[in-house]
Amino acid sequence: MTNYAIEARNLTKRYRKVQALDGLSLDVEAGSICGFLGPNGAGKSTTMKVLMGLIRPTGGHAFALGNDVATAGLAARSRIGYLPQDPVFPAQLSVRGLVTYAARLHSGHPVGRTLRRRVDDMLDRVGMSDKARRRVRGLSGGERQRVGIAQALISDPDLVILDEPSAGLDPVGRRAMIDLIADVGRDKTVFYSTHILDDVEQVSDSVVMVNHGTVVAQGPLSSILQATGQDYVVGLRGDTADLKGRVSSQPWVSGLITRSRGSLEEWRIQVSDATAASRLLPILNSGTGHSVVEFHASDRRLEDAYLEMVGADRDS
Amino acid sequence: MTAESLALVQRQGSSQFRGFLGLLRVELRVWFPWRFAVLIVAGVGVFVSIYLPWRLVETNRLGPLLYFSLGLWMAVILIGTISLMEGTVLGDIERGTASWLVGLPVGRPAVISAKFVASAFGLSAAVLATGLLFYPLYRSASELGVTDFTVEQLGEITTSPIGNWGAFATLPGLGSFLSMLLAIALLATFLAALMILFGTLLRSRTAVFGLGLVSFGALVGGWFAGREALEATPIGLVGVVSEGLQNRAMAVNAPAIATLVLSCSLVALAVWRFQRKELR
Repeated sequence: MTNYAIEARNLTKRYRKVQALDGLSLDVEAGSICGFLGPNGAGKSTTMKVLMGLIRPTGGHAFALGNDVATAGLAARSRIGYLPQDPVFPAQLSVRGLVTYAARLHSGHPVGRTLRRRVDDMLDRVGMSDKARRRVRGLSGGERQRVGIAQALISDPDLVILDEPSAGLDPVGRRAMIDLIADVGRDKTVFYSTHILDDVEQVSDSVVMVNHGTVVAQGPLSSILQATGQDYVVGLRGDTADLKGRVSSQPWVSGLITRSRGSLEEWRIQVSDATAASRLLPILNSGTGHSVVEFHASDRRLEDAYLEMVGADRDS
Repeated sequence: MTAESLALVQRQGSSQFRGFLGLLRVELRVWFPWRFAVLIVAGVGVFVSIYLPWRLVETNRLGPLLYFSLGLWMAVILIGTISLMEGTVLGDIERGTASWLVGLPVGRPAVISAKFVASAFGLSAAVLATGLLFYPLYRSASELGVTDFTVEQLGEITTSPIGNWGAFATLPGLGSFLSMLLAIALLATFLAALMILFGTLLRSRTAVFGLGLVSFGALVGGWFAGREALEATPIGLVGVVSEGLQNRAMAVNAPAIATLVLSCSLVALAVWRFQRKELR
């Protein structure tokens, strides 16, 4: 039996004229690092806020760690670490004070020596030890994100929900964030939203893609990439105008991207059928005036899958 | 979650007041030292601005000075409460602090209750500290014989028609004075509860501030408009201060209890509203 850390069933949320969630159902396996993808306004933050009990769904149910968030939200939140998008913390607190505050609210206990040590360790882990005394209000965006991660992890939660943790970070900060997510994901479930697909490819083992408030794809990353088809890279010389038309007209060709590399023309052909290669090669070799100098299959990138599932729909 | 962590940070239970003490601790830091200091400085400013014209004191005008300074001080405390609290709930929601806070394992009732208790404590402490700071000064002035007061001298302070001001000439006893301080503290607490409720009902801080001012006007104006009928309401507390300054005893119990009950009811209503609030 599969153990899910997050389950959502037919979630709907309507804000007057805006349908933010439209029958969204998703499952996130316990112990996985799950990337939550979708364009702006697709419903990512809304879903996370429903899970955290910040907003009530118009319909449907959501469960976090087995708890119905509508009726047992407090029990769920006691085992969840949450970083909201663009977090704003009480301005009067210092960095250490904020993380201690979060720890205290999780535990309900006064701050003892063990807890203080834990806070120091956490600040060290996110690289904020040297700024522990600084006021939260004076921190840069990246520093605030790091403190946000520290407060989300301070209770050693079973589930970590991060709403765009890499937003506003410079490349070094982003790299550190990805490493941190990978590290945290070794023994916890991490559910995070992002627009940076490279990061998802690096650390996630599963993906949920949403668009217009509904899930358009979900599952292990490898399955998502396979399900969206295969790419072939072809190097050509000569006159390719007729050939291009013939290739594009095939029903199993879902995309054709061309670019020039000196005298060589490189095509990336996206196909929806795994057996397409056997049909593609004869077409490429047919006709005159051109020659095929290179042909190989290429791993599908998440970006390709994303654009196919979300981007095409956006353009339409 | 490791066993050590469980022992360290997990507390079972799902009380809606979970996290109250932790929240209260941080809410108190909002009041101490800065808001507390602001109210003290404002109070000192009121007393000094009225007391500094030594010539007036020397001409035996402690009575009206006391009346004006305490009356003005009460207004400053109450308007200060409105100003300091107009963003207490709505500001947190607008900034996003509330979203973060409610994402932690705390009950929403605990969030509102902590704000109320911290406000009540901060305001009461500021009222008592300022009041008790100035009582000995009044007492000394009284003992120095500057309490004698004539209607003609008062005319130099205000050109308004004057009634029988002789009643103001004597400083109230400490018991009476403490009753007045209690009344002011309770009035401020009541306004704090109102401001918290407005913060959960309205979407504009300007509207919250405006409604606060209207409430303040209704409290003060209500006493002068219909004093007897409103004695057992928060408006009666305005009467406790006003009557006390004229050395007329007025029981503080009924309005005080009514104000406390009403304040708690307002907070309960705010809790109910905040629990249904969407924190986007």
